[in-house]
Amino acid sequence: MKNKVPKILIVEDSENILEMLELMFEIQGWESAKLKNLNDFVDHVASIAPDIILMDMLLSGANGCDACRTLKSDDAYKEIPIIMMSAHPEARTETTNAGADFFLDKPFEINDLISKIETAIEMIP
Amino acid sequence: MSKDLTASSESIHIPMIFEGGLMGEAIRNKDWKATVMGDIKQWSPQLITILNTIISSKFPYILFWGDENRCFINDAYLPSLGLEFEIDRLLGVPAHIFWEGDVWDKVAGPEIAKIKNGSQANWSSDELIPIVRNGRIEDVYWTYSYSPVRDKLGNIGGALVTVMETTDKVKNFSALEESRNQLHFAMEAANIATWEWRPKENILYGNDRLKKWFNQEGTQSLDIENFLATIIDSDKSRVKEAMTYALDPDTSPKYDIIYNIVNEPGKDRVVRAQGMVYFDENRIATRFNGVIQDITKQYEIEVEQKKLTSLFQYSSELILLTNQKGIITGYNPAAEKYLGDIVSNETNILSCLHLADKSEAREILRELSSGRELSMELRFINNIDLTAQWMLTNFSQIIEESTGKIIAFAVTGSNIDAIKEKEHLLEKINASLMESESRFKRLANNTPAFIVMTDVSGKLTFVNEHWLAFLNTTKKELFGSTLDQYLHPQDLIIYKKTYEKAIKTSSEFNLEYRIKDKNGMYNWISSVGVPRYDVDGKFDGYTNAAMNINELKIQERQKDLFIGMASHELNTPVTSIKGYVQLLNMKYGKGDDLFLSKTLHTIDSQISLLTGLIRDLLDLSKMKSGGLKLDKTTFEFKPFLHDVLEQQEIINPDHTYKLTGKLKVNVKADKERLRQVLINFLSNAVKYAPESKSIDVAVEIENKTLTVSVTDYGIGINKSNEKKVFKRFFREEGSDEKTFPGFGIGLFIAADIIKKHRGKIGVKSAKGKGSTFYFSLPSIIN
Repeated sequence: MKNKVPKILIVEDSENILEMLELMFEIQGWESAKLKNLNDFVDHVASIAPDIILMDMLLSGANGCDACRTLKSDDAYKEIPIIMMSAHPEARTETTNAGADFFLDKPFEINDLISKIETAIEMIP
Repeated sequence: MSKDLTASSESIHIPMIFEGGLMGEAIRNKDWKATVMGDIKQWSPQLITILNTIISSKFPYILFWGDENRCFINDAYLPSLGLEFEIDRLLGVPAHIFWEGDVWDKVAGPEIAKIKNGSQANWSSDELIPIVRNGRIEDVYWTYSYSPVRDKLGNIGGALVTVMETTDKVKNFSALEESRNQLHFAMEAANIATWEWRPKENILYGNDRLKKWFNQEGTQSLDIENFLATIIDSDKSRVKEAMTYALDPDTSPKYDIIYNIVNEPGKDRVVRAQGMVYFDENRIATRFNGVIQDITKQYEIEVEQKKLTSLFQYSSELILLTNQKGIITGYNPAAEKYLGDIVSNETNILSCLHLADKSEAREILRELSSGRELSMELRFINNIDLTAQWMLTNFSQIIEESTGKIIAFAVTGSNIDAIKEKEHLLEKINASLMESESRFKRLANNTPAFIVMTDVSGKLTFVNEHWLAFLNTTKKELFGSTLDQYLHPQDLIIYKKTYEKAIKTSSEFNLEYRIKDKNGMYNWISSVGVPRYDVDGKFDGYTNAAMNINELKIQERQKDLFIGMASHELNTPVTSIKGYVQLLNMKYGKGDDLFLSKTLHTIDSQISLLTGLIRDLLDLSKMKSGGLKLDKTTFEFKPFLHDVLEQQEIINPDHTYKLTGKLKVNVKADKERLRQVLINFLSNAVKYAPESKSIDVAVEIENKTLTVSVTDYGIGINKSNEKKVFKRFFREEGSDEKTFPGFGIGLFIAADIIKKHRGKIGVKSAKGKGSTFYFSLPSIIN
């Protein structure tokens, strides 16, 4: 997968962060898609077919961990690396338990995020 | 002449019966012609001869003559007939007339008849023939000899009886017999053996008992050596010595010794031997005789008595013997000690007692006569120092076994001062306990807290008014029951388990649970249970104090909600700003515009500071509201530490981390909080050592304790400040204070996290050279 441009699905309810991330991935030369909520999440994932998912944990009323757990228990999507983000450092354990591959503290260092995505790219089959 | 003739005729005949005392005179004077016997001149010469013989004899005789057995006696026989006997009543009178009745018919008559029929002379001795003598019937013993007297034709004409009264002889003899019997009986009763030893011939005699005791039954003469062999070994030499001493004429001939013999195994007999030695004129011992008495019983009794006496003497208990009126007849030394010199064999026991106890004691003495053993507590008075002594006093009868009669009362007393004192103390303690309990209940009922007491099984024994009002129930309903029915179903199990576990170990416990109030609403209650112990230190149940923390719980929840929201709401814009700044930095930071790159760098670092501040503030507010809660898991330390260091290298690419030590270990801890501590140490190292780019991280494992230390080579800390750095709002000042911003609460939070892990946190530093921050955790698993 090294030569292909990765498609990263960003799930984030904050418009500002969402835009910032899109911009950042554009600079990095990565393709991105976005979701602002978890409505019909699996359907969206199916249609978008992302290589990597970057998802905020708290999404106005819904828990990102549930969505994470759903994907990880589905043979069709379980190989997709998931990076969970949260402003609560304590949430790390919960995301790990839900099957997330990475955890990113908010606010994050861009270097940190980039290195995690690069690692995730390595994982894509 | 005729007178003369008569006289001469008389004088002619008189010589036919000569002399013969009273009896001779009576025969001569009796007018025989007027009797069946006829004229005396016509009597057979044999009769005359024998009459002359018997009347001159000093032995008593009776002659029975003719078919009618006419009686003749001599003077020697007279005493047997008693005083003032009239001879004419007998002389020449037929025997069956004089001795009418049994004397003739059964005793003398048949004997005489046998003689007259030709039997040999016979003899009868010491025969009892009671006779009337001296006006009364007397038991008289006789010895008779019957022999025939022949007439001139050779026919048996009469019987001559020699009669001796042997009453005195018989009586003496039977007295002798009786005394012999008595001696025998006494010897039997006294268990006495007799012996006689003749040293010269070396012959030993003894009675059957002696033979039995000394194992020589059946032998005729005893052997002195066998005799000695029966004596137990420990007594042998003593007995021999005593014998030698007795046999020495110069010392005492008396022999009196007590020793043991064994004639069958295991059966010791205690004997007392007493004897005398007889010497001849040459002072040579000829006889050594005496008795041996079995005194086993007496000896045992004596020994028992000695034991009892010493018990009596040395007992620390007061012992008195009294008669039935209470007059003291005996007392032991302990009694003197307790009562002083009032005690004597004249004192009444009542006068030794406390005035208040006398009537009771008098009552006891009265009851005791009717056969009861009684004990009670009485005060005895010492008449010297006038002190009163409480004694548990026992009264009992002493009864003479064979008669069943009461011979004395025994009074024993033991000192119960100590017990009395304890009782008194206990009463005081109980009173003060009751006082303190009522005070406690007053307090408990007037406090706004919930207070209950339970017994050892968890049943309620006290519920204060506040509880009752809160639950809208009554004591009656709750006592002996539990609060279970009021508990929230979700909390009931943990509530019961906690209680059961606490009761098992009698330990203190804390518990939060929900309970339904009178309006049916559940309220959060925080309760503390403290075990209660009785006077003997035995677990007695729990005292439970509880607070309604419902408001607190609501506030806490709101606070949690606020913190959660604040984290999110504050971090969202910051995340966005930080992201854009970094994007700008990526695009323009490395360009030629120095102003732009410096500005972007500054904004970036200030935002980092801001995020740190936000985190610290949130942590701080969590600590204030009930503390940071740990979420412990077991995890491998090595990948965890590598992960943290990698992240730090990405964030601070200018610094390098040198890792040393063994890492392969599992740790049970809150992973994220531990990460926070490590990040704090590592970012401090960067912050306080901007010039030195190398940071050392060392890991040590010792005694199941993991120690991680982070060393920088920066500005260091003053010794006096080493402890202060973990206090809130401390910050080390550098040469340029503005270089090191921050509130300094990071280490304070780190210290709290490590403390909650029961670990240690610290710093070693040298000003200007650098610092080593370390923490250690006790709970590692290999």
